[in-house]
Amino acid sequence: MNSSNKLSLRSAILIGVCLQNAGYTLVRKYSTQTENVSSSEVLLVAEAIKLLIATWLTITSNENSDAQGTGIDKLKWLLLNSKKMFILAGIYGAMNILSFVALKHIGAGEFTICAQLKILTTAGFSVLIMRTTLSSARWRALALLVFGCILVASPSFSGVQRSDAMILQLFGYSAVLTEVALSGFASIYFEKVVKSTSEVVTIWERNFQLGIYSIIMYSGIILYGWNSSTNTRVPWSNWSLLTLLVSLLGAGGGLLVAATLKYADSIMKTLAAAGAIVLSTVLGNSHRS
Amino acid sequence: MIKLLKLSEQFFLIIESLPTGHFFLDGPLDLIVVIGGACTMIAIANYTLDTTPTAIISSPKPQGDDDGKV
Repeated sequence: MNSSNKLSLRSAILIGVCLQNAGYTLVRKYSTQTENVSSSEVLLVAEAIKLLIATWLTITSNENSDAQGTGIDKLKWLLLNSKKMFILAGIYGAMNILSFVALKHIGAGEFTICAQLKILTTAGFSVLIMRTTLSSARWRALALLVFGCILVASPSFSGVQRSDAMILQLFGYSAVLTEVALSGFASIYFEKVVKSTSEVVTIWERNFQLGIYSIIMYSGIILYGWNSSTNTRVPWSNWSLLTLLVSLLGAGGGLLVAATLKYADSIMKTLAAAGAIVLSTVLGNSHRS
Repeated sequence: MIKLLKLSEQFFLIIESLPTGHFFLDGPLDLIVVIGGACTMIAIANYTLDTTPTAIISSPKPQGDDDGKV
């Protein structure tokens, strides 16, 4: 593939990520305001859709890959050689738990502000692990990006102050900062895996491996919720076409992430995501007006 | 400082004159969102248009001494 085709493909993927993120944010927001559906169920269905697409593409793809066998044998080989994706799925699980813990002790506004630091942690890990160099102009641009994202997200900050003890708030801040660091590390780790030249596995095969572990994780979360004594919801209730659309968009985002890391890099992904925040805010305000 | 204030005044007049200006100037919070959006777009443009090459540097291989010392 020549350089102009690569640039076109990269641009198309990044624009796709931006539009998908913005669309996902808006549709999910509308869905949560108008429907009473379990978010874990929505995420599980999104992972199932992603797994189905990745499985089909893995079986039918003719791309160069170190995966052995064809059809079901290939899927078995991928599952038995999925240590790297198991580690990544574990990191994502830890991030979910840390987010939950952090939001118990600090406000949503403070959480959102800290969450924007993942832009800088991604860049930091890119320098440390991928040994890329970033000019001072790019570092300044990233710092401005963090500032801009905080301002754009500011309408969602509530005025409710947490009254937890200082030690618990510090615990909450530690949790969110750890989650932010893990987020940056996970992005770079995934990028390093998909760009690896020692073990060549296509992005669809990587998505298949990751999808298996994600489904196990979300299934566990859902079963825990069903068995909880405080749960009064009927499982899989209130689903509609809108809910399915949210899951489809979520699945699309998951597939696009791997493509972004393959053909662009983690930092460009964060730029696209930041653009999506602005786009979804503008479209959200326009709809409200 | 006076120049900055006059520039800000001109900026607000321009925004207010636009058909969609009132969407963004209903209150201070919306203005903050506009500023944040502008900062984000400027940052994205600065990053993508920066032409400084970002080389992937490989670690230099350690060189052993000729006399066998570690």
